[in-house]
Amino acid sequence: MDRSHVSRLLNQGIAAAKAKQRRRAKEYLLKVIELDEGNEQAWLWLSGVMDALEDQKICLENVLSINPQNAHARAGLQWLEKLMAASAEPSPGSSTPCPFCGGQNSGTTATCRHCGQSLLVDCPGCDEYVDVEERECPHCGTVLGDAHDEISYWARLATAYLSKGKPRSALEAWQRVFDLDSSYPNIQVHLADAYRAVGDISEAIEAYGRAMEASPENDQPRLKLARLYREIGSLAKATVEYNVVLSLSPHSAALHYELGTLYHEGKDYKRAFQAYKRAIECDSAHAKAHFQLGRLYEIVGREGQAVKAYTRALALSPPQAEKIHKRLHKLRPPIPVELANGWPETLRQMARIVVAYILIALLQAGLKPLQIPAPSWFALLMAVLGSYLLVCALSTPRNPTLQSLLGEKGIDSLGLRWAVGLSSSLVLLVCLATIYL
Amino acid sequence: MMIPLGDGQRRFGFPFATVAIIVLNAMVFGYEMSLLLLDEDSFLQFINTFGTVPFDIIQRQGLGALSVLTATFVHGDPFHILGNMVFLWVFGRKVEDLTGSFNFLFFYLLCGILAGVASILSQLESPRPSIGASGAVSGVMAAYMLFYLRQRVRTLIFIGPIPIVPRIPAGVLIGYWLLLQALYIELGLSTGVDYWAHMGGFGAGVLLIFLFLRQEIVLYHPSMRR
Repeated sequence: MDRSHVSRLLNQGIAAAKAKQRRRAKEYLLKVIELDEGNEQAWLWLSGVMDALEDQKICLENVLSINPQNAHARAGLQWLEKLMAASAEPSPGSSTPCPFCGGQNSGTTATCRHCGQSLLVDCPGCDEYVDVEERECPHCGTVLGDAHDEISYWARLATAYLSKGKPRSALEAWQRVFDLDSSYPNIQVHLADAYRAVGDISEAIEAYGRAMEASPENDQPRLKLARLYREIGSLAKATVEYNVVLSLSPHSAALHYELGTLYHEGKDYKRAFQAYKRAIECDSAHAKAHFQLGRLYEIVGREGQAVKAYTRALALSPPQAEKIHKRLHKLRPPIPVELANGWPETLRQMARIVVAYILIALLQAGLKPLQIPAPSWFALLMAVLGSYLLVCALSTPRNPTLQSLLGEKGIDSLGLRWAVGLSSSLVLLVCLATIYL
Repeated sequence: MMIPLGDGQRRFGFPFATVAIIVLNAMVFGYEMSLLLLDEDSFLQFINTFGTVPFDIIQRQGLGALSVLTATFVHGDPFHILGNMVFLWVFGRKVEDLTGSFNFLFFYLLCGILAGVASILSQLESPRPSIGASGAVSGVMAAYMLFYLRQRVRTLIFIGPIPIVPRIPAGVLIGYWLLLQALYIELGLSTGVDYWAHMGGFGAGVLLIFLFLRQEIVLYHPSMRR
């Protein structure tokens, strides 16, 4: 007898039992017992995965015959004897036959004492226990399906349990599916999702790994594993998995975006930039990528670029538009119209043009102001008017004077601004020519 | 000798105006060098026509005001243009952030004109042309110093043959440069450099930058000028 082989089989059996993989556990433990009949641990664990109460009792009795001091076995046997006594005689008028094996059970039992099948099932819609033969919950109407089609039945229930926030029930249901058919499509992914939902991360990781081995061309298990790593804070591992998935789907904007947020979280801003930009290259309407790019630009102090990115995101009418507005207003607070169009601002901008014209006139006069000819003086005056109109057209269309002449909007309409802008530019050109020539 | 190499990141987009000025200067210089290679007289004539000749301005001859503008784009030798363009690249981009590209170009040219005026006033009857972008670049430096006084600029300094690259606050770097210009003027040193144009351009920058700032910087300056 190879002790190491037996030990290995025993460990595998125990691991399967802990994972509620009853069938697999049974296989391993029975092999151990074949090789080593006196293995106390194997008999003890086997008692936990046997379906029939009688078989469980036999296992526990074998444990006690090997080691009469085993407290677990002693306690387990006592409990079993009570249970068997209680279910031994179904009360007259209240026994029901098991729909699977036909054996008689007392009216209140949840599991068939003959075949171990569940007789009552927890409805995912309303938390009531429903007879397994019901195809629909009589309390809430949730469709349960045909229990005789076991695999589909438990698969449907598992999906329903998970969606209704009952991860532990979902896990048991998926394990049942696995026991019935270990080649059920994506069973390892389902198990992994259920493990993840109950918080058993290590099992989830292993299950995703098994799923990836089973179908290497399917990137979903790897993507889910990447997201799991991210959840638990293993950013480096998550990055590796994301990059492998991306190598299979290089044009997925959503994946690039997810990777970008991962890098962003890990403060690797350079890579985050690249990832967000690639997401935008794949889908220019990816509002979230534009928004996150804006946030990155803000972090590194490139506020102008941040403003552009936020503006692009807003143009795509994203659901988080309010958040983006707030950030935009923080960077570029809206300037009150009176301030932006008032005389101080208008004069400030006019001064640029007027100073230039005065200098040109002076230079043309040989730096002798008194020798500036009359046409040039007139041109300078016209240049002041021209600069006023040009500044209003470009920057301050609601200048108070224009408002008093033309109403509240002043010249703030596209057509008017163009007209005034062009005509004032012409005036200024003529003035320049006059001064120069 | 201190040569600025660069400072931190820009806030806004690509420095279109700064790049355009550098490219234009390079093109003009390329043309000048082609003239020099063909015929030195043509090169000298080019300098005289497009440089600022105080005598011509006062006598109202030549291109007049236009020559003050064109002189900003004419350079005498490779070190002349290289020095000016390095300074423009280092300081110009951040000033362009403050003004926007079009306004920066306008500001640059106006500083160049005022630098030309200062140069003319310092040597009214001189027939020697004054050329170079240094007056305009001085204006840009003035604007930079006003807004980024404490910004650290990587600067190449030679201590004997040994180069070092410390990060010096802009106020110290530009202040030192300004002091040298004043000193050279005071000592009346004649090294072929138009120090009055530098001072004129610097003064223009200090006086005019406020007119060219972006509206949001003027109206919300504490938050926008970082």
